[in-house]
Amino acid sequence: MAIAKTDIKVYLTSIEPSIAQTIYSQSLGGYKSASLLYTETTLLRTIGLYDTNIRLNNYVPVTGSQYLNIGLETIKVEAVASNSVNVVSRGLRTSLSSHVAGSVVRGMADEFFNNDMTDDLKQYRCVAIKNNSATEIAYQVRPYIKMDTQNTGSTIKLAVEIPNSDYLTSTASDWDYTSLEDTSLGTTYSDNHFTNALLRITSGPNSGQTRVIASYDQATNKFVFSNAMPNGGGTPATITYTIDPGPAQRISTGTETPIFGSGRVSALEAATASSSLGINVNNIGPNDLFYLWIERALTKNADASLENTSIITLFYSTS
Amino acid sequence: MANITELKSLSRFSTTSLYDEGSSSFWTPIGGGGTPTLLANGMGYVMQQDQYLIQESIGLDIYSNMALSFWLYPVHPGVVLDENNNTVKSLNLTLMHFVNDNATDEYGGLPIFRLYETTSEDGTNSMHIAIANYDGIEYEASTASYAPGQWHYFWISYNGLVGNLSTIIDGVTRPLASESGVLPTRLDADSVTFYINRQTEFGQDDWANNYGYLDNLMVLNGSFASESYVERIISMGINYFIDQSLLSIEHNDFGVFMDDPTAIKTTAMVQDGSSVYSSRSDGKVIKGSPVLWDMRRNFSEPNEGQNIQDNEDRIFTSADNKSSTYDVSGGVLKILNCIIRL
Repeated sequence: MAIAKTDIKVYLTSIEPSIAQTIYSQSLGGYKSASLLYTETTLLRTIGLYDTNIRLNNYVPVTGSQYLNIGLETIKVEAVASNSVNVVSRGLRTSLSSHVAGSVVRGMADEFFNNDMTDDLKQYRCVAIKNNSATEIAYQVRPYIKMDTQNTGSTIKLAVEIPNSDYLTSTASDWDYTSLEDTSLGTTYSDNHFTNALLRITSGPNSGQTRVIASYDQATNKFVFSNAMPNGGGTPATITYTIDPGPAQRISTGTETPIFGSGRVSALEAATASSSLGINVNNIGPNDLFYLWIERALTKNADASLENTSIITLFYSTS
Repeated sequence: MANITELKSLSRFSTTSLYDEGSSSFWTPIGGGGTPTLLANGMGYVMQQDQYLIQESIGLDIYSNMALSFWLYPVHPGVVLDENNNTVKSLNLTLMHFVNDNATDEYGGLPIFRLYETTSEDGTNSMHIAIANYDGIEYEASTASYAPGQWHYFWISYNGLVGNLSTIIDGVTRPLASESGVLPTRLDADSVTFYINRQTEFGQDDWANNYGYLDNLMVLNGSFASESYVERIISMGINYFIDQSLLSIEHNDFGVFMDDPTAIKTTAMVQDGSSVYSSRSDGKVIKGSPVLWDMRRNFSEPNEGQNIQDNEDRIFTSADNKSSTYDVSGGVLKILNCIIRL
């Protein structure tokens, strides 16, 4: 079975793992938050190129939205208040397209960027793009800007940041309040390969507990937690656990320039279909993710431009 | 690039050679000076009232399954007044048809498959589909109406084995209307002559040649009856449907939405004899003097005098080693023996 479009989700980032992020201007790297970039629902029925009514399966997640993003298209609508949504304007600064039933519908908010800019009129955001499938892989993932903004004084650039560690699920051979050992890992991972990643216990008395990994030792296969677990004792001897992909670099404000073009971070580029980013994302396995940095830059004589949109596309292969 | 085996005809109308990469042959324009007219940037073929296109003896290998799709920019020339009873009737606009090479009659053979448009009084058009086979089994139907003056994508899917003919217009399955006859179980369209915009019924006042635009005409010998194929073609391009190496490619798109603020810029400048006033796009008005010794006569801001003193090395240099002085007091700048750096 191939990966489904709905398996790939875009999340805001946060300073702590797994917390809700409700402020776009704080999506500045760090961990994948629990909040989607935009709240989502799905189409109840297919809409054609010129249809002016949209039927949703469940309008609640996008209640009040006046801008919907479906695939390559941004659609201005009357504020969503039911599953029947009337269109104000199709193809708002984007191309018209048809959308089949079941397509993801995102309720777009207009504050992804704000007016706090650097002296050279730039600002940055970071999102996490995750494969939520438990079994399927997205192959050769390639992000690029499908549609640039229509404001010539406003440009978007992208950079990819690959996490230091990928998703891992395994079984511990020993554990206590503050650490966990897993001899099955052998010498696969170097010292501190998992540092700052989030470890989640999935069986035993601490099941459901999560801790940030303070260190990892290759020789002993020992993870040390940043904070102690509520239960110790090492019974049962073996417990299962997962480790989320490692965090991205974190900047303190959207006007601070992240480090680009070094290590696991690509250079910042105006990526197009024919000119992809310098670092290939390659495959995104089950539960894996990568981070996407987005720069918005204004020229000094740019005009104001309301309802501006840039469409970012992830191209990938299903096999 | 290896195309899917079901592809039998694909005309992108991007060059005047009118190459069909599905049949590996060329359309021949008849009439209209023998020269086709194409839209700029390969956006399609401009049908002409005195011209039709023909491809002879192309192998479609179509029997029980077929899909035919194209972009059409329809026109609406109006309707026809029937002088016999003084009523209005639709105008029929030729579009395309193909005939079996082995069956000929006055007009080049009985069309196995024929598409033409009909106009309505309300300003819309609809597509008329006619299908027939050797056994004399005929079927006709009309599609839902659509607006002229904008591009539409048509996808017609035929499956004789299950007796299904469906139309997808602009990505959405639309019901057929005015159905008559019986849908043939097979079409015998193995080797055909394919026409675009040729009349099959002459001498009738309610028929005219089309002068709309046509693009990406494709014929497949499979039914492919799904809206998802159309969505893929519209959003990704036709290569992602026909190229076997691209069939596993998918896309997942998301938008970032923002209001771009006005970056500060000067919107107007005026002078009142003593100062220059500059208005900015953020609403502020700046008072200053770009030509300091000429225009600036009034230094009313004490901080400005201090600013000059703080930056005296950058502003003033001594002229010819003569003693130079300047003074800012009482709102007046006094300069003696100085060169001013601009």
